[in-house]
Amino acid sequence: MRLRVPRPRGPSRRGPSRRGPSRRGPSRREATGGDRRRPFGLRARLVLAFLLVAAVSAGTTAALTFREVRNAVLGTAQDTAVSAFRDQVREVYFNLPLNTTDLVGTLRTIARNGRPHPWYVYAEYGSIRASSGTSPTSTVITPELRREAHSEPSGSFQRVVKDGVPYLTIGMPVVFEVGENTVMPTGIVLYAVMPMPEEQANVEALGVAARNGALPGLAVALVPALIAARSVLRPVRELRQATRSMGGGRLDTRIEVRGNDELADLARTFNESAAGLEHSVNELRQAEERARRFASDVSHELRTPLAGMLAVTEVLDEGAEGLDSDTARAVRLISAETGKLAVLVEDLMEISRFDARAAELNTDEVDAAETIRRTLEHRRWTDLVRAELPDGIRTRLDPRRFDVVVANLVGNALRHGGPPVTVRLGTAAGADGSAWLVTEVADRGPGIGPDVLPHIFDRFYKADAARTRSVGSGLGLAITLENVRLHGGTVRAANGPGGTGAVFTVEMPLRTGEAPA
Amino acid sequence: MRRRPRPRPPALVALSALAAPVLGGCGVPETDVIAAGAPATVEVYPYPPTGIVLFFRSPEGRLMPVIRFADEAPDVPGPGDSPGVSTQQTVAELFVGPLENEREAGLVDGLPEFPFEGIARTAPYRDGGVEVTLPIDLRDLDDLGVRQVVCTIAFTEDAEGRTPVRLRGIDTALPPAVCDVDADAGGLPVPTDGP
Repeated sequence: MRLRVPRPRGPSRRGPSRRGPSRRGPSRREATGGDRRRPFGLRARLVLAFLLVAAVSAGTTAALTFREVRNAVLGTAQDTAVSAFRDQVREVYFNLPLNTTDLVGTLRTIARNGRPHPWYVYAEYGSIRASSGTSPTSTVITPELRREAHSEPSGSFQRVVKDGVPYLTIGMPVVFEVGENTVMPTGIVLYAVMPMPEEQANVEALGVAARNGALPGLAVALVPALIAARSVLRPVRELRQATRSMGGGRLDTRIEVRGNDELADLARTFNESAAGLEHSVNELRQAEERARRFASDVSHELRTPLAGMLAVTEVLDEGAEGLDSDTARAVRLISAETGKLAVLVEDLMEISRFDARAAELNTDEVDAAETIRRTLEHRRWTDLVRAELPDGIRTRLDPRRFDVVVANLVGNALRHGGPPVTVRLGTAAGADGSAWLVTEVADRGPGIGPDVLPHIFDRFYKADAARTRSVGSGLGLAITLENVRLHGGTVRAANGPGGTGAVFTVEMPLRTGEAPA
Repeated sequence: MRRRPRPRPPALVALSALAAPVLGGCGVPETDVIAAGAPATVEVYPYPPTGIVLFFRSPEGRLMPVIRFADEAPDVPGPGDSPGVSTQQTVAELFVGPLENEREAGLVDGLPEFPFEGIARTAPYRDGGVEVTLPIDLRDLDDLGVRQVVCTIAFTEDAEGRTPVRLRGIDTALPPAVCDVDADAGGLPVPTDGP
């Protein structure tokens, strides 16, 4: 049976969901931060860097080698062709002026002896244009080569690519000797056009070979890249696991220091820091332990004399009527203060048990409404408190501690808040579908000041300095908080809607039929 | 929190800069015009000393030597130590212009005609040069024309064409010049000053 209680702020959904993140942090990160491969993590970057260096060196070497060999191949062919062409021309007799018929015959002779490949030979003389082929002029020879051949008395060549086929074009002015050292241009310029398919094939094969040679280099570079990445990543991974382990509370975590590099330094520093941290935390723990034990011991030591004093004050109270008024007031004051001291000592001992984690939960499946009703009856508050307690909510809780919780909250409301005090009981569903038992104690008093609200559950925190002499020990709400926490629940303090009084809300997991927590 | 998986631009630039010459320049590239040694030296027929060398011009305005058989070469060297035919006759043949077969090759003389019965007279000049007096106005000769005449005379006077030639016309005389057959740069023939 589930019931939704109308509530001023509807915190029921927030309560359980707030519990989630307050759990131990690492549990979530472990799922995502594990050994997954990052797209651009250290490993990828290291491998990329290695490959880049390998690619640059292999590529540069291949490219330079390729260029040199290509230039050598082409240079050899060119030099052969140019000198062969010159030699061929040199063996010809010319009769100036030329006539076209003789010239074509001469050109055909030269064309037959092309080296290293057959070539086409063209000639220019005056207005005569002749060739060894069918067309008297060439489409491959550039105007630059013609200008050079006509203006400079020296041979020249140019490599031209036409329709994807490379041609070597050679311009050769023809001179004849006059006298000993003087040559005179004949006005004849011969051109050889030699297709270079073989050189092209060779160069292309060379390029393919250069590329194919560079690729294994890359593959080989992958091996040291992976090894280097591994040598970096393994210490990093160990460091991460160690850090997580320390975050999980195992301060004795240490890393094995391997080698003598920067990562080993880091591991060493980590170990030193961890040792320092462990030392500090141990000291703190011991100091805290001593303080806690001291409070516990003090309480224990006070308890025995107090028991005696309480017995005496009861006798004194009974005999006070027979004393004069001043003495009687003093006796009653002693008696009252002794009683408060006894309560304080009891509360201190209770808090000490919580701090020492010695508090145990003795759960029992009970009817929540019945438990609260019994609490109110025991304290004789039934008439002072309006109870809205629906029957039939059964849950597993520690009846004694729940009694303390309810009694503290109601007593607090009765003492500091204004009537009427209302106790409401209900259930709520958390964000993850879990069921919660919600107990609300509201009053119609002045409410809680905003500066007080954050500290309301602090120990010995007094909302009002004038209230120092109040009945409470100053530990009531702190003990309430600890008891609720022990149940796995939360307690909140807030002001009611419109500033009408304070509302304390206790949320505890609604457990039924389970084994005792 | 998650790093964007983006490779850094410098790496890409380096890679592409590297890949460009490797992948791009695999074929046979074109070149500029590259000088490749001496021209082709040939034998011409007839060999100049046994023939006469006349310098005509091509349609593009270049000096074009033609060699004719000197059928009527005198046995006795004429005035001016000419080894073959006389300078007088050579100059006359030059001014007559190209023959049929020479015209077929596109050669022209580009020179004015001599007046009727006009002849060139030669006389020694200082420094072993020769002075040739032409029966025309030198104004009618363009630069290439001057060069044609100078070279023709020089190669008539000696086999290597080194003789300085001083041209004198009806109107004026030019400073001595030598034939520079190599000065064909840009097709603009320029007579150079003699030594």
